[in-house]
Amino acid sequence: MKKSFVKAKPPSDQMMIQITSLADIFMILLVFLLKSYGSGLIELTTSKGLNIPQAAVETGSADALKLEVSEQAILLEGKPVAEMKDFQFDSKSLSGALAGERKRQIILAKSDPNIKLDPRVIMIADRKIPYSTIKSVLASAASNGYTDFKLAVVQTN
Amino acid sequence: MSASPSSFSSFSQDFDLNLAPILDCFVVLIAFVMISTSFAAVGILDAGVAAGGETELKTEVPSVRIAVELQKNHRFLIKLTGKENRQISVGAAGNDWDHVALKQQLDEVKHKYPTATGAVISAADSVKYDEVVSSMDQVRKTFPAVMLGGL
Repeated sequence: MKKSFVKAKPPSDQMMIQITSLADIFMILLVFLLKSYGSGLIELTTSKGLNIPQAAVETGSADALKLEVSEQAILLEGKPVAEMKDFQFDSKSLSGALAGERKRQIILAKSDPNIKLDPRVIMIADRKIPYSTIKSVLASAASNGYTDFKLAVVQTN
Repeated sequence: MSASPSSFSSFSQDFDLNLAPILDCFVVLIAFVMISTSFAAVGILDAGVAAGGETELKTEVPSVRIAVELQKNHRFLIKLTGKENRQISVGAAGNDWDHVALKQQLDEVKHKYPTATGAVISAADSVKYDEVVSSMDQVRKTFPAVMLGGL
């Protein structure tokens, strides 16, 4: 066997990693994530420890007044309006906050004829809340003109 | 002044595109999107429109009105009023709600009154919201328009 007298090149210290395939993977991952990011889901920010019930519903997107009922407090559009103790709350505080929100909507509707009064309210309630509390909250909402109730649930399908 | 073709011969057409900064951007973007994406999809369960809305509802009065009541001890009571006045009781399945039996009973009602599309659901004060929602979900399979009652 012939022996080559040409010395082999010593391995270079600078190593080039082929990252084109990695960039491809990242691109696919990014497209997938961005697609699922904006797929018409409702943007709901709930309080820590709030467990909303599950139900088999289709993806719904609704922009309405958000009313959160947790074991600690009732929040209207993320702002606490009534404290909850043993599932009891001050209905006057909630009613006052809802009336204020309704008044704001009425002023807006009067100033712009394209804006209509929205009777929808999305209720985000903890699964442990008894129905009596839910009834009281919904009754307060209904007495202030919010008569179209929508319940936020975690989709099971 | 035009350059002669021989002057370009020193530039090679094969070059390595530096992908490292693009990859850096991708890593940051993916991390950001993954953090802000909620994988638990939130849906909306329509609880119906109570009386007293801004616009008048033009709906026909159904021949039979169906009300499902969630009672204590995990019992359902189906109340039919109108063309037929009857109450159907659905017992508990052990220490839980018998959703299968409820669906069977509701299917029978639907078979008898195929034009009925709505039902009102109400519950005893101690019944938890989760149980009301799961029952609503069950009733919706037979009667799509489910409204919350007892307000």
